[in-house]
Amino acid sequence: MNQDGPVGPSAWGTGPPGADSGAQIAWRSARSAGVAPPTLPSRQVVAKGDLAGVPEDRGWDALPGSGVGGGPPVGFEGGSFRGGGSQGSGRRSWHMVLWLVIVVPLLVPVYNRVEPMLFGFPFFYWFQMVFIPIEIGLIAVVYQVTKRRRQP
Amino acid sequence: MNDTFAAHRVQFGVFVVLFLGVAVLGFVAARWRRPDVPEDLEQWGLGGRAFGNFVTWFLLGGDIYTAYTFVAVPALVYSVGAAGFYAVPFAVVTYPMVYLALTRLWSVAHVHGFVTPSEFVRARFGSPALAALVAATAIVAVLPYIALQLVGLEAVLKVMGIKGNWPLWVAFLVLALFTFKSGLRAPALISIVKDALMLWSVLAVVVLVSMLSGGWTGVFRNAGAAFAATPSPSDGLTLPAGGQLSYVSLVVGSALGVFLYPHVQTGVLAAKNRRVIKRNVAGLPVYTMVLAIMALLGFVAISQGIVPVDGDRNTVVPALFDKVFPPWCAGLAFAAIGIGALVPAAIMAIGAANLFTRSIYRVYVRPNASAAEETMASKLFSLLVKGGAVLVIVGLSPQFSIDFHTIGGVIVLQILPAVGIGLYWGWMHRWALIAGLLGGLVTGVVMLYRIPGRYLDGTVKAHFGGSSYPLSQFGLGSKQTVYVGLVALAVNLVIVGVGTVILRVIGVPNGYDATSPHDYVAEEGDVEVHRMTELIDGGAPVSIGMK
Repeated sequence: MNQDGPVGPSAWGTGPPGADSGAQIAWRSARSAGVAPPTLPSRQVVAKGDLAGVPEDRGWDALPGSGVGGGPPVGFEGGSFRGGGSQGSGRRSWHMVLWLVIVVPLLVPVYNRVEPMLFGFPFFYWFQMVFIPIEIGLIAVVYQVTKRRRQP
Repeated sequence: MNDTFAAHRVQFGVFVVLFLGVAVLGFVAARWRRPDVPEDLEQWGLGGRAFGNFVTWFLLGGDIYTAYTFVAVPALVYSVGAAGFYAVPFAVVTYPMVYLALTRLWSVAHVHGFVTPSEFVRARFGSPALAALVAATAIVAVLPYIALQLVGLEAVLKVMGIKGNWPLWVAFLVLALFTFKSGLRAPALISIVKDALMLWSVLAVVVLVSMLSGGWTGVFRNAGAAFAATPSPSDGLTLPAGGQLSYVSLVVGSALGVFLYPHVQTGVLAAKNRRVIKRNVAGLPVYTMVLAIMALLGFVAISQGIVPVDGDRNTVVPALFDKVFPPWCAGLAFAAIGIGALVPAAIMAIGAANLFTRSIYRVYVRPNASAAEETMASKLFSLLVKGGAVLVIVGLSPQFSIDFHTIGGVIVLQILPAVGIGLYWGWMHRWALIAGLLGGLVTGVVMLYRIPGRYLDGTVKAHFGGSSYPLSQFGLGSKQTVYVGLVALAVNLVIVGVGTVILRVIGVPNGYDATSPHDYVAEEGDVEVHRMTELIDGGAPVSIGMK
């Protein structure tokens, strides 16, 4: 598997050989950074771009027990640019749904009371417990909708 | 009710048989699904990163919902009512965050072969010093949590009329040995037994309460009457006027803190792929329902007139089981709590040991340690951690360990900027993060120090009396209190933000970010995930693709 030339596999994840396998992957930061997702002809180009100006041993920086700080300038980012981000916005808006189960349980004044009771449970208790099945349902739906199709 | 040992022979017999069975299971686990490779830290510390849907569900369930939770939350509800129910919204609010943030941690850890979050911090911000600080903070935060697992075990033993500390020593010796031998595979296998016992106990108690005269209506009526009779304004079936901000801030602070704890991250990183984590997050709230029912047992205990054994409120749930269940059934429930203490304690010790090994030992002590040496260091450190935990519980008062845990919760929140925000944003400067972490720690501990409280026996103590800080101390004319952890985190974040801007302006070089955006969404089967794992595992493609 060691295809990265003399420096060995890069610890910061250079463009993978099968860069096209990432076409389905939403890569948010590319968009948020205002970078157009480039199309990379081959991984050799990626590897070169990545390693330009990087001392050979920097590749091991991320491994435990190797070297110390320093290295390339701020803003340097490993270039594993992968396909477009069109799926990302869809996914992200689905993730917004999850805010429902974060925000509503925090609105204490809404549910801090005894009435109406349900099966003998004061409102304070059953209202908070109702969010458990709601959460299971919401997360299951978000997972199903945003599931990334596997490559064959 | 008789709380002598002679009256609890059956319970004790069932408890001991199950406990011994589980101990054997812990040793056998060393060979469970173990690939034929030399042992390294990924095998011992993360079970080879090969746990699928079911094992992960049990492992994380045993990990997040600890024996202490199942004993202390109902004890709190028994004492103060509504305010103790915070554990339920806390668990609800936690999962969406786990779903989004910890899947990113899983991906970046698998691309780079990280076993702990502190290694991620080091790669993200290019600072071994920050990583070591994060590791040390997390270890200090989790130590009292391990000690508190013993409180759950101790409560069960007390109800069975067993005096003295020796059973605790025996239990933790067994725990330490099988963790040493089997690593994360032991708690993973044991958690299956524990959860079966726990779910069964809870179902049994729900059926029993429903059959009591008055059912749940009667339970809440009796509890409401009991709270109305106390002079304290802070208890009751709903939150007092001054307790709402405290409730919300405790929910938010605990939820933000939970996925920063090393044991939760260890459980998540041991999953086979991202889908396993996501499916599990959808399934884990089932345990929240169990927790909610356990919390309400505090009211059932009031309704049943349960009096804590030896004045220790943590005994109310075991004492309730003892009263309402037939002896053999109570024995099963006790075993559920006792075994439930072993699972998280083992995972916490493993998580703490990995943090030490990867971010302190391999960086500052022996940079060229071999995989075998590294694994041995982790194993020995896990023994040390557990020995320390037993000493804390035996040598110091239980009250102290509960205070210590409160402090731990505040402390662990301070690694949020580096570990949590760092998963999304690499903008922060490494020195600003270090300053923020230290500033947050100092703020949190000073505020906790200034909170007076009461011991369980009613005497007043001057310091570390809780984690709710009165707003009036800030000069605000309010009766509300706020969770210290959030205030300390706010201080931390301000220092990080301002510090980063200043350091940028004066041109102090930032650390080198060794991660790339795609690392955070990589999935099992992606090329770099394979490649790095093979590299770090020493060539054999066993860890990720195994199936």
